[in-house]
Amino acid sequence: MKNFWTYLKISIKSKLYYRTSFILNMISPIIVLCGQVLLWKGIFKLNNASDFADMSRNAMFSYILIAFVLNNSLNWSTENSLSKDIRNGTVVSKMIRPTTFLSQNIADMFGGVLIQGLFYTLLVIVIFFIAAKDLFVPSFSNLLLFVLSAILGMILRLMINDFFSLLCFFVTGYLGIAWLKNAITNFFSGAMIPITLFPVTLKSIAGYLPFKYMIQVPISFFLGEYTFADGIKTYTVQILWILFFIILHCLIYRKIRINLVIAGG
Amino acid sequence: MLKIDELEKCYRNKEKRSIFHTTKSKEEKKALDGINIDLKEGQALACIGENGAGKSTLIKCALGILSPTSGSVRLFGEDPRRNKKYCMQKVGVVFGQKTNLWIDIPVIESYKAVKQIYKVDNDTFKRNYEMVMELLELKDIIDVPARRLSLGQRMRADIGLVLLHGPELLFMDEPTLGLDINVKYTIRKFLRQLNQQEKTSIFLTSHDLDDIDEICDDAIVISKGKQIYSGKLDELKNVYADKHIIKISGMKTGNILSLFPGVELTEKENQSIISWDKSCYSVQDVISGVFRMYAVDDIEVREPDIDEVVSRIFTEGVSI
Repeated sequence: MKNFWTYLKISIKSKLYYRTSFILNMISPIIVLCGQVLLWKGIFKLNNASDFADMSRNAMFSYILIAFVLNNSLNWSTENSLSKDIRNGTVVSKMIRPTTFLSQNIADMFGGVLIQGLFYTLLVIVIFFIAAKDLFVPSFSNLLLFVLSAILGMILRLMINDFFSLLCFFVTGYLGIAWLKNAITNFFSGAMIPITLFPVTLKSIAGYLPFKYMIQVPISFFLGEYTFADGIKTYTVQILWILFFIILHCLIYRKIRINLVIAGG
Repeated sequence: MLKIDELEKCYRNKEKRSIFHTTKSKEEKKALDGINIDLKEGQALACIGENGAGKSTLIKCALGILSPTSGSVRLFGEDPRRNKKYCMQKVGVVFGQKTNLWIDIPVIESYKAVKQIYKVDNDTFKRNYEMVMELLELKDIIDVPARRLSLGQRMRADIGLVLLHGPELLFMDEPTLGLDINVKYTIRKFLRQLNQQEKTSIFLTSHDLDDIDEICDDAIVISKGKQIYSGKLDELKNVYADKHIIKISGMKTGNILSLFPGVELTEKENQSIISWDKSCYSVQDVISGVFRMYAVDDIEVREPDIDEVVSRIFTEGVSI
């Protein structure tokens, strides 16, 4: 565990070393958020209603803000650093340290999540204070249930990302996998639009996949849609999905060691 | 320290289809076949082989990064795949083409991280840190992010990094690749010193045969995945170099060719180089002839050149 913190510290230092690039990375999602807010404002104005598919206007804007924090805590560069290491062969340095490959990967991504997540969380808290009357503000107990679910959701996301990154050992380019992963996770996690707005078939498909436990499910706690009893069940499912991806990691890593060809010999 | 028995590693090439390329059927390629190594404490072993011979694959199998198809690998008596933490704690690995440094942070930060990751106590760290700082001349680059270092600077920093935890065995995969002569010299001198004074074992692969000559006493030769020699480096050179060479400084007083027909004579100003097939004359005979035919100022019996040996092995495909 002590090693995990060492890797985490290195990850944070590495990400903060190039400040301009870091700040630019932080700004671009905020522009997309402004676009999303304007779009939903327009939709509610057109419909001239306070509800849209069972979601109140306030709940919808809270959803957008929380989804923004959860989705953008892990940026493109952090998400794909392992894939890039695999493609250029530098991944081998992770394999010769006296620490498990998985914990190094998770620490590396988590460093990015801590910095970016903290910044966006503070930003959204300020927005909640400024525009509280236009937003759904949760009760304290809902907030606690949400925080726990959001942490589990983030761990699950790191594991899913690790899984997709490991696939780069088997293909020649990482961009295809990265874009595919982004499209699938953004869509089925509820980051783009809430899963409650999906058609029935897509909604049932999303129900069998792990992605909604990254964003949609934690936000449901925030919006008070889930009770404490739902919480126990949901946390269990989240933990089971995390374990599933840990086992998958071990199986893929074993396969990699049998037929691995590292770039550059 | 490192014991490898009958190591075999096969890669499976899967069937490939593409618009522009013909279909390649599923096949198995033997990257390593029947490799045996017994590396003892304090030994410096060179692994010689042409490009694609399987040298890097051998290192990866020895470290447990790759699983062997058959055979056994024991690193400090353990299977490195099962007991990674224990084994990696005792080894240092340098891959010349890849850095082990965290490239975005200053070198010193990577060094501090290694202290924590390998749980190096303060005294050991201080001693090793001062040693690498001095011998690898790292003072000017220690606060610079690895990304901004030149190749030679980065390699020195990389070698320093793997020595901080006091490894008992060093794996060096092409450590002087692409470096200028000064940096090569520093690294060779350092590794030789480390091997002789600290008794650190070294497993070295390099295409620069001067590296091998200066650092290692023992060698294995791998060609197309097969081990074709294992033993002393000097023996390899003696067995393989089919010529003797003598270099003479001094005035010529007679014709050496009259005494030893068939020897090759190259003359330049006051220097002469005589070379001949080992099977024709003994070194003693030729030297005594040289003293009759030259007013000798200086005479040197040259060691067989390792470049020549290796070139013969790989170009002529001679078996040992």
